[in-house]
Amino acid sequence: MRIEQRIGFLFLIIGFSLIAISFTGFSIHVYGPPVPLESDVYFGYVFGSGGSFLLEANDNWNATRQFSLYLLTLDDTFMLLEEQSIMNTNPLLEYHGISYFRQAITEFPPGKYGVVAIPDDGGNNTITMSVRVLHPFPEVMLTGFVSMGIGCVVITIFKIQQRYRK
Amino acid sequence: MSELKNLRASLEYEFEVNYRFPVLECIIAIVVFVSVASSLDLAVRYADIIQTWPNEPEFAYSNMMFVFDRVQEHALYVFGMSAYRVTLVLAFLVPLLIAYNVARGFEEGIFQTMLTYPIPRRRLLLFKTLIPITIIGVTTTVALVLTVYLAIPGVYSISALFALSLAFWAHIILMVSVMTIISVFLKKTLPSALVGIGIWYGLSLLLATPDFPSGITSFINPIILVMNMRVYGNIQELYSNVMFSIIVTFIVGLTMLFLSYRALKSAEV
Repeated sequence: MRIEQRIGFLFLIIGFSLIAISFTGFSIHVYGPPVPLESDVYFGYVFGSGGSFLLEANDNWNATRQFSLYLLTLDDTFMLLEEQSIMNTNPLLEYHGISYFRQAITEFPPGKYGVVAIPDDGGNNTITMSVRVLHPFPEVMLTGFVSMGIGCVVITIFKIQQRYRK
Repeated sequence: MSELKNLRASLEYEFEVNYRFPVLECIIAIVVFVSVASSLDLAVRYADIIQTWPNEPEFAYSNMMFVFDRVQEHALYVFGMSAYRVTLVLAFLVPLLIAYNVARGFEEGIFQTMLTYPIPRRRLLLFKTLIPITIIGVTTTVALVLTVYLAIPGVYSISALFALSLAFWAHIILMVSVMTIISVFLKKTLPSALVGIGIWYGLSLLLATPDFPSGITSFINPIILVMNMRVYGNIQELYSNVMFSIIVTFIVGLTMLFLSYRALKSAEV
């Protein structure tokens, strides 16, 4: 097998393995302990995400209790912690008057985010949250497709060259 | 010029016979899979570093800043731990590869045939040891650096990443050189592979136990020092510790490679 063809197959195999990785279900549960602020009024996590993630929030003690949920950038989370207020922040997503939340969030790039919940009645915070990273990892899958594409192009060019030589 | 031509012929022989399609491609795919999957798995787990937050509200902001100052440390931890996981896979892969390339040469009379040509014995072994070191080292380093930068965006200490990569390379050189000596002495593919897997997998199990002397651990696999990073809590301290172990491991690995060349020189083919 000629070197050009091997290089093409190498890109193809690496592409396959990257696409497989983007679907693999490693135990990627991103949990963090609560951020205790303003006497348990704010409650949240800071997490790093490699792509899409599934956000879940509910009150285990009182299923009908309503709360507000905010998804913030890391800088806004710092501001929230510094000023002890959500007023000067610019939430990426915000939901008000909800008692249960479960949604896959796909539109944001990899990075660090803060998710904060505030009970509407202002009482003790008993909201539980979880953030789970979803598969496939878009960046890894895209790299895999690009690698496979390069492999296919190299193999095709090689085959065309071979035909002309004949 | 003719020397270069001979070297190129030996290299081509290795790629066409020992690393023919799809052996080389599969090795690269396995190493890429383990490196990328492991670093992605570790990189998104911020829970560990967030655990250090105390529960007093008035300290929340300053502690959060402290936690994210440690993102750099976390990135290095991900890099090192992923490299360590790759070495666990290499504990199987490298013995199989070296036994297949070196011990099979004795068993099937390949060396005997090749030595009828004017090829020095050391060159026979040169590419058999250099190719796996280069392929595994380059693939793992590139895959880990790219994945860690992708998953944990930020500015890291390049010197610390370089030190960790060197630690990985030192471990591969040690692994390959020990396996080459075993293969030259045993001269049988299966026993060499089994002994190699036994030694390296047994060592990796032993090294992971907390009671094993840390001095020996850091010289056999310097990457394990990364697991103690949080104990140090200081990248500079880690860096100096790792560098010392890397230099010792490099010297031991290169000495063993030299010994394996000597062993082949006096071995009966």
